[in-house]
Parts: sequence; structure tokens; C-alpha cells
Amino acid sequence: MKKRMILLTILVVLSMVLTACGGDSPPAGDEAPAAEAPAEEAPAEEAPAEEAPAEEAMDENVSITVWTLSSRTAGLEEIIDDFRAAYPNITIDVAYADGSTHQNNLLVGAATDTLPTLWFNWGGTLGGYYTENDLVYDFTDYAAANNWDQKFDKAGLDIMTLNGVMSAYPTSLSMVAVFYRADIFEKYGLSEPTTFDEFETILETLKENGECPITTAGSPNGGFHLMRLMEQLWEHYAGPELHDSLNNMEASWDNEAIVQAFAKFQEWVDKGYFNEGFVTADPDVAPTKLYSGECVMVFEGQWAETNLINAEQDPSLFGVFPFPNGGTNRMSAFGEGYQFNANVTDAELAAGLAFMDYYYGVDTVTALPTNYKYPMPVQGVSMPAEFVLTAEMVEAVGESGTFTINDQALPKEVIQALFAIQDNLALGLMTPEEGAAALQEAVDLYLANN
Amino acid sequence: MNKMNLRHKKILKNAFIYIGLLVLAAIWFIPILNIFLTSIKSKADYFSGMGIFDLPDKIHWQNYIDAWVIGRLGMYMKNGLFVALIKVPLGIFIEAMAAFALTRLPIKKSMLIFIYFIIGMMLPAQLALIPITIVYSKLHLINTYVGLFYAYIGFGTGFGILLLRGYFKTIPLELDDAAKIDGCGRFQLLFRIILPIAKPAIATLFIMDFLGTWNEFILASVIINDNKMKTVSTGLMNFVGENFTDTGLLSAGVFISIIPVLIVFLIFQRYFVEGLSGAVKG
Amino acid sequence: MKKKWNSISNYLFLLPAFLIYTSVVIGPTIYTAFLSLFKWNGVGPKVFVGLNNYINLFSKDKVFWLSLKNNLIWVVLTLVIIMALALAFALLFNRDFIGRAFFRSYFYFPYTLSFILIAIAWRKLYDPSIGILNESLRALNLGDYTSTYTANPKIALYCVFAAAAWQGIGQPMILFLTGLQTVPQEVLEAAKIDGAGPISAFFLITVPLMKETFIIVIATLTIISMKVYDIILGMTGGGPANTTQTLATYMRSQSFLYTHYGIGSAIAVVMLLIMLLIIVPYMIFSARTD
Repeated sequence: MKKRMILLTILVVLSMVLTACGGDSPPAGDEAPAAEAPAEEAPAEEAPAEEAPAEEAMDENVSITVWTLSSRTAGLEEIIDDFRAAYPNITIDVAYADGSTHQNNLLVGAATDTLPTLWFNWGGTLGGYYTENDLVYDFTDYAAANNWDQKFDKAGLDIMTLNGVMSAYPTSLSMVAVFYRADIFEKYGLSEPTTFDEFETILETLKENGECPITTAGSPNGGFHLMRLMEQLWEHYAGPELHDSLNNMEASWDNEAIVQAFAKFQEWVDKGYFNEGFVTADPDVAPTKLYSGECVMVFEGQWAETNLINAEQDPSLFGVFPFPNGGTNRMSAFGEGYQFNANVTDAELAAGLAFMDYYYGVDTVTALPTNYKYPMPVQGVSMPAEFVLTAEMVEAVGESGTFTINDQALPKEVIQALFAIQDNLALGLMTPEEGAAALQEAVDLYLANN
Repeated sequence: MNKMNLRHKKILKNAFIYIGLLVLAAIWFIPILNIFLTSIKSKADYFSGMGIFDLPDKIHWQNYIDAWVIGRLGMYMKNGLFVALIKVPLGIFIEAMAAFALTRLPIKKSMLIFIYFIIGMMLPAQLALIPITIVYSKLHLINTYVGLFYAYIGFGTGFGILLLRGYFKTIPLELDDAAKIDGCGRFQLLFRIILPIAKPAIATLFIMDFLGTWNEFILASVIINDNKMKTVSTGLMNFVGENFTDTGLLSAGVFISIIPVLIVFLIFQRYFVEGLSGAVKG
Repeated sequence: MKKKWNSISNYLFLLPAFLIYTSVVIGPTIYTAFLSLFKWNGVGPKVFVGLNNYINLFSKDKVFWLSLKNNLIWVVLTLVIIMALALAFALLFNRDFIGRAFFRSYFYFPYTLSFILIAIAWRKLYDPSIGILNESLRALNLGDYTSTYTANPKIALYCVFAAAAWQGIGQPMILFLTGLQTVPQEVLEAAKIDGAGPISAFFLITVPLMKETFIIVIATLTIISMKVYDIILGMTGGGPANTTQTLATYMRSQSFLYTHYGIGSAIAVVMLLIMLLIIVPYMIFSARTD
């Protein structure tokens, strides 16, 4: 018993020590451990000056809750005190969670009627669940009345229009392209491909010279990484129209184009174009294989540039090109935004919008550019100069147009089946014909049950 | 001559075991070494393609500092200690009473009641999320430590009763009779006699329950939203980024966060080999 | 005095545990069983489908059968390998030798680590190009035997199990150590004097005296291995091609990915029934031999 007392005393003392040194808020200007923004210092310490308050008169006291990703913690906490000062009648509570926990919490919130006033969400089928079930506020009328078409880029608005509903306040538009090691390309006299055949030539050349052409990943938490390549093959063999109607589950996946795409994939696997053991590799690790030069190309979104800067890599060694799938070389894209609770009162709506306008307003973003993920659909915001590759992608997407990234275009059951099919194809356990048939089977099963 | 051989044999056997143990320990260490080396590498080193077991030129202790300061690990650990140090003793108290009743008091159908308590261990906690959230939100228990304690104690009773019951059963019933004759009441029997004898089991349960509470994630992630109230398991998940996880930082954070668990273990582990205390002698 | 020992107030000892446990655990369990008879996506109305969820699982769902198979393999592996190793370690550390306290903590240590870290560390070990396993094989000129480990559908489950074993030995080891304390040294000494060898002493004396400990360990390990989830999700996510999918991971997919809460609940009920089927007879059997 005596030892227990000693132990408990030690632990109590320890906790007192922790209270003393632990501290509650980080010093100003610090960043979250895994923040997307580069490691450079934020230019201005103070928040922007007056930000025009929301249209409605804001004199009543209102309280709102926000759920967002934990990777946004530092950025948000830097401005939240200033927001509170500017709007003393708004009580705002923010809760943070990592990606998968956040999705979980949203689902639990939906099932228990405890969703917050507004929450971060992705587009596609992820955000679509909430529009389908009438859980989100429809901004269509509000957007029309408040000139959102001048406030935001059309692409950003479109990508967050789900099931015909303007489902969120758009905050991000992401695209996927091929990032590559420019110096290794140069070494073998390669240049960015503009056709599919040129891309294949690059693969061949790299492989002949003992390089690992593509790094990708499979199963942990889904084969979405590998899917980024797969959907490009679909776009190439099926063409934009068929691809779109396949995504809408109108056309059948059991067709010649898909079989060809799967066959080409298997061909590339057999030729050893991918990193060894990619089927259960870690998707977060995949792009980092470019840093060490272990592999040469990776299908990533524009955040890869932020990540490589954060990882203290030399940006001059990297380049990016949209995958030459043919036609306009459409890029795979998806959006993010903040959805509002369908049951918001007018006051809560006004308060929430005031918050979003403040958080993503031109003034705040310009003052603290490193807190944000680019590109943003908010007009009037310019990207920091160091995001060279992202700027290239933005320019490209203006010309090429986009299709919704497949794991947000198709329902999750179908996607899970797809991932298993991808694995099976990669391991040679399925033929392309079987793969296409299995995929359509999954679609049929989904349609039958829903 | 015979004596020498016997002793030689024993020394040889012990040496054999020792060496075997050391080899095993070396192999055992590899994953831990990997994690530790990750925690002392800067990002540049980590991504340079150096082997997992190559030492970096400069030890990057900054990861540990960042985990503490930027990651606010101190705050999460403080919360975690608060939750664990209240929940564990309270839980043990409640479980000991129940185990005592099931093993030493005349309770009808005690086996059935015991199995009733075991069933709870079988439920995957994820499925309790929705019903608990519904009830908690109505009772305003979300974002309260009381709500967390209640849920933790509930989920912990199964294992606690299983463990304590098992151990209590090995204590001879004659002790109870002797105590009764001496005029002992039930509570006195439990707290003055049984529990002291059951010290190894209590110690074990304390260690395990502390660890379980410290690392518990799924219930905490739903019941506690407020960042300032988060415990270590949920707090550490803040280190996981959207498309990129700073593994160096995460590794450093985990190493710091297990210190209290190790302290608890080191102090309580003596009880595993203390053996039965004198009372059970004859 | 005597009256108190037989009064109804005995049940008061059980009351706090009973109340809290029933409200927080049994309540949701009943809710889950109830939900398994419905089709529900979380927000819409609950549609009664009777036993359809179960029928579909058993008759049409290939992934379910795969998960079930994987799970049962996992349970057997756990009870055989992890329990045997934990017992061996416990016996070893029960003897008095220098540094045993250190070794005890050392082999227990992995159990304290969070599963994210275990997954990251072991995935790096298994990495086909820079992981230490393949690197060592190449260094020893055994390059032909390199494998893709968790990417290989035939051995992926066992690779993940290795990580789970590394982590999981700690808890049963401690339980066995505690249980060994109830085996009085005098009895073993007496047996030795009577000429019993160490092996027969172990099986004829130690094991029977540790009956209660075995109950605890077997029950706990069975339940933990049936519910295995975090380590699988962290290391392979159920892949490749569902070869590491277990009931808990599949249940989570159904409930929290596809929002088929009814089907997810049905899977949980199946898990529960299997565990009951293993544990309850075992307990009753042990109680008989009391």
C-alpha cells in the first residue's frame, strides 16, 4: 500500500509538472505538426484589418460549432481570436479531428442528429451522402442572390454542386497530375509527354536504365492511389463521354475500353514499371520515393508540392505534367468546402457565413498565405510565388477541363470492390475481362440495393 | 567430482538461457529501434533514402521538442493522467466488489451473472458509438469527463471482473470462515484481508487498465471533441496530416507519451513476483 | 452478524458494476442486435428486413466468408502461438536471475505502443526494397527468397500476425506471471523431491493450479483475436484483395463506409455468437472441474 501511495504521489507530481510546462496554447506563429503549408514563416503576425461583416445585422448573440480537420488547427487558431474580437456576439467552438476520424464523427453525427452548425467536407460521394439525406443547407438560392459566381471560380462551385444542390461554401479545388524528377528525366533526355505513346516511351526508357518508373500504393485505406492511374487509363481508352456515363453508372463497365485499360495496366505491372510490393505500400509514402530518387514518377494532387517543400526537398528537382490521356487531357479533380447544417437558423447561417468569409476572405488569405491549401476557388486570391508546380497545374486545368476523381464519383461499395479488383489484377489473379465483369457486378449489386 | 559436474551443468544451462534471451531481445528490439531512429531524424534525413538503420549525422531532437510544444503533448498527457488516475482506481473498486460477491458471497446463479459481464467484452466498441452518442447528447454528457468515465468504467468491468474473479478463486475459503468467526463484516473481509492477498492481481489490473485507458481511442474520439480536453490517443492523431504524416514527429510523440505507462509498470511489476503474502501459510 | 452474510444486501456489491455496465454496454449490444434486423443508412427510416441481413451474409457475401475464415485462422494462431510464447516467457521470468525485472519490462514494452506506430514500423520492416527483412536476405545471398510480404496474398495475414504477436505477448505474459504467483513454491519443491521432472511437474502441478489464469487468458485472447481490427487496418487495410479482411474490419466497412448499419450490426452479432460459442462451454467445463 505504501508503494502505491508513493506511485500516486509521483504521478500527481508529474501531472502538476506537466500542467506547468505543458501549456495550453502554442506561441503565435507556430504551425501544426503536419500542416500543409510550407515551413516558411508567416509574413504578417496580425490578422487583417476590418473585414466587412455579413450582410444581415449581427446584434443578437448566436453560438455556432465547427468541425474541421486537425491539419488545419494551427492555421485556424491563429485567426480565431481575432475573429472573436471582431464579432463579439458570436460564440464559436471548433473541434478538430484527423481525416478518417472526422468522417466517422460526421457519420455518427448524422445518425444521431448531433451534426454541428458547419463542417468541413469533401465533394463527390463523400459529401453527397449528406446532400442525399437532406442534412445540408442548400446554397443555390443564396448563391444566386449573393453573386457567388463572381465571388468564386466556376470550377470550384461546380465541383461542390452535388445532386443538384449547391452543397457547400467551396474552399478548395484539387487536381491530380503526374509529378516527376526533372533531373532524372534530363539525364535520359526525356521531356514531358504530350501523347499516351510518348508516356509509354518514357516508361520503357526509364525501365531499361534500371529506374523504377512509377511509385504507387494499394491497400492500406484503399487503393485510391493506384486508382489515380487507373482512371487515366479509363479516360484514355473510353474517352470523356463514356467515362462520365460510366461514372454515373449509366453505361456498363463490362465493355471493351475497360478491358483494354485493365490489360494495359497488367502489361505495365508485368514489365515491372511499378515499385516493388506496391500493392500494400503506404499511400503517404509513395510520393516520398521521389525524394530519394528511388522512383521517378507519381500520380499526386497539387498538395504534393506543399509536402515536398515541407519535407525540405529541393523544388528545382521536380516537375509536373497532366497525364496525356488524349483529347483535352482532362485532369482528375475534386473539391472541398464547408457544409452547413440543414437546420440552421437565420442567425446561425449569418454567423457561419461571417466566419467563412473571414476565414477564407481575400484579406485573411493574403495576410497569412501559408495557412491555406491552394488553389482556392475564392476569386481575388493569388497563390504564393513558390508554388510553381501548382500554378502550372492550374493553368493546365483551365484548358483541359476536369472529371470527378473516381473514388468520389462512384459509391463506396463499388470503390471497395474496385480496389480488390485492382489488387487482383496487379497480382495476376484476375484477367482484364474478369475484372471488368466484376466491376459491373459491383455496380449492379449497388443499384439493386439502393 | 559429481558435484562439480552438476554445478557446471547448471551454469551452462543458465548461460545458454541467458544468451538465448539476449539474442531474442536483440531481434525483439528491431522494430523499436526503427521507431526510435525515425524519431531522431530530420525530414531531410528521413527522405534521403538512407537505410532505416543508418544513423543520421546529427541527432534531430527537435522532433521531441516540437511534439511537446507545437503538438501540445503536455496538455494531452495531463488530461490522460487525469482520466486514468480517476478511472482506474474507481473501476478497480467497483470490479473488486463485484468479483468478491461472485466468488465469496452467496449469490444465486453466479456463473450466469459472470457470463453476463463477460459478454460486454465481446462487443466491438464502434457499434456502441451511435447509441451512446444519442443518449449522451440528450443528457449533455458530450465533451464531459464524467461521460468519458462512465463509458470507460462500463467497458472495463468485463475484464476487471474476469481477472479479479479468477484470482479471488485461488484464495482459500477457509480464510473467510476464520474471518467470520473473528467477527469480520463483509467489507472488512474484502478490504482488509482479500485485497491485500490479491495484490498481484490488483497490480496487474492497475497496469492493464491504466494502459487501456491511456490508449483508448474510439470512444474518446466521439465523446470528447474539444481539443483542450483530448487525451493522448486522440491528441496524437492530430499529428496525422491529410496527405502526409510527419512520422518523425509522431514517433517522438509516442515515445514521450508512453513514459507514464512505463512508470506505472515499473512500480507495480514487483508485485508479480512478490508471491502470496504470509497469511496463506497453513 | 450471520444474517448479514445471507441477506439480499449481498447483491448490492454487484450493483454499481451492474448498473454502469448494463447501461453503457448491454444497452448498445441490444441496440446492435435490434439494428441487425433492419436496413438503415443512418439517416433515413429503418426498414425491417428480418433475418435477411444474415441470410445475405451467409449465402451471397464472399467477403464475409473470407473475413470469417481469416478471423478463425487468427484466433487459432493467437491461442497457439501467442499464448505459448507468453507462457514460456512467464515461466522464464518467474525464476530468479539477474536482470529479470529488466527483461520483463523489455518484452512487455511493445504492448504499450499505439497501433499506428506498430503499423508504420512493421510496414517499413516489410518494405520490399528498403525493409530490413529483404535487405538481410540479400546480404546473406538469399536474394531469391525475398518476398513482398504484406503485398503477397498468400502470406499477408501471417505477416500482419507477426507484428500482432510482437505486440501482443506482453499482456498474457503478465497475466501468466501473476497467475504463477498462486503456485506455491513448496508444492513444486515437494514434487522435485519426489523425483518429478520439470516437464511433468509443469503439466501435472503448475497447469492445474493455474486453471483460473488459463480461463482469464483464453477468454481474453479469444475475444481480442476475434475483434482484431486496429493492426490490420494500419498495416494492410484488409487487402490485398481482402486476404487480410477480418470480421471487425469488414463490419466497420459495412457500417461506417457504406453506411449499411444493419449489415454491420449483423456481422457484430455473428462475432458475438462465435465468441460465446467458444467461451461459454469452456467456462462451464472449467467450473465443473472445480
